[in-house]
Amino acid sequence: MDERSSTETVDASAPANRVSWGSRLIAGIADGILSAILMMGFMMAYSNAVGEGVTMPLKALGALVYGVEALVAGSMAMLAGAGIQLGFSIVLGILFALCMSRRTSIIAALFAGLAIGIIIWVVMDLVVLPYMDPTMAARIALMPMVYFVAHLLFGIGLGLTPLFIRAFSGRRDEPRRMSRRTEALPV
Amino acid sequence: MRTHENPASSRLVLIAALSAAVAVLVGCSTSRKQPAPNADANASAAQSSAQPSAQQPQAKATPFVPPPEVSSKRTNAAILEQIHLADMKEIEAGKMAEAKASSTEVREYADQLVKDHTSADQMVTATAQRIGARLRDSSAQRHKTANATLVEKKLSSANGAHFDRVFLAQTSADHKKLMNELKQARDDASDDDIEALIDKIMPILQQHQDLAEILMKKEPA
Repeated sequence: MDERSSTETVDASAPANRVSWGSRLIAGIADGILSAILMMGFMMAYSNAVGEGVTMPLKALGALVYGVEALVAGSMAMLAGAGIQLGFSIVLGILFALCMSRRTSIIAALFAGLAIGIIIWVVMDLVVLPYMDPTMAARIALMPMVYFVAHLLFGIGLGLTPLFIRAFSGRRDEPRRMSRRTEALPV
Repeated sequence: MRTHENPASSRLVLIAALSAAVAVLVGCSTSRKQPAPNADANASAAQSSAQPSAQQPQAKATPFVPPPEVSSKRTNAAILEQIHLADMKEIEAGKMAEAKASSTEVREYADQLVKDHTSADQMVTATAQRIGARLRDSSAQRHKTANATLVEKKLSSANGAHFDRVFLAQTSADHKKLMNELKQARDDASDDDIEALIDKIMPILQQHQDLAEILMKKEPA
């Protein structure tokens, strides 16, 4: 009887590792925001350091909407750039979080995040920038390594998703896990 | 016993590694359409071997023919000097426009012009140091042509919307001229660094010219 009940306790821990959709969503959003800040923050800091102005990366990204006029469109172009970066990062963060569980190791997630970062860099460099945003392409040509490193930072940000999942599911799913454990305990 | 082995994690690592490998392969295989250094070296070697025979008849007429390295260095230095002068001129005009322009967009444009040309001039200076060319100090002052002085006077005397129009028209014309000159200079340049520099600067100059034309259309007649 005792042995059976202990087995039941172990089995009950498996479903407890499953994370609710809500927790994944929140973790994905938080991670997307972090990744966007890591990437854009790095590019903005570099741009400022070389005298191009802290807002240049936002304007260059805003050129996807405004074209070359983004360079003189002021805050609207910057908002568009920030919106594109944040929106894209949050969507990727959510998709990434949907593929993770509480038990996914950080190392595995970091590898996956870096791979995604490199894939995005390749797609942006070869397809999106030359054909859809030549304004940004010209700016990126002045700092190709920085753009690559920024994508690696984005990947590292994505790789931290399991931490967010653990943090959010730890709070939200605790009552459910506790009730499962209580059910599994021998009477 | 609970096992810590997670098949999902190992699958994830495998997928990530494969994706990264594919991405890096794709990234590396796409050429930037830059000439191969070996090809350049071969071309310059062929050129230098062909030059003595071509210069032999001239040697009788002119007592001294500078070695090819010296003359090519002079050409490279001249190209850098040309870009340096253009940068100085645009920075000067941009600073004036930042202070005098009536439209916010023209002021933003002038600010962008100053930042981009300052950044371009830093690249020119770095390239000059790398190839051992010397850029003259305050050369902009010494090389001021009558036309440049006239333009400066025109800009100084203009105000308000008239200044905006004069500034934009002048900037557009200057950039068009500079781009044509740099296209020629790229063909004349014998240094990969200078070619790369021109390749980087040209799209930025094109943006400046496009912006000047867009803003000119927006300006009231």
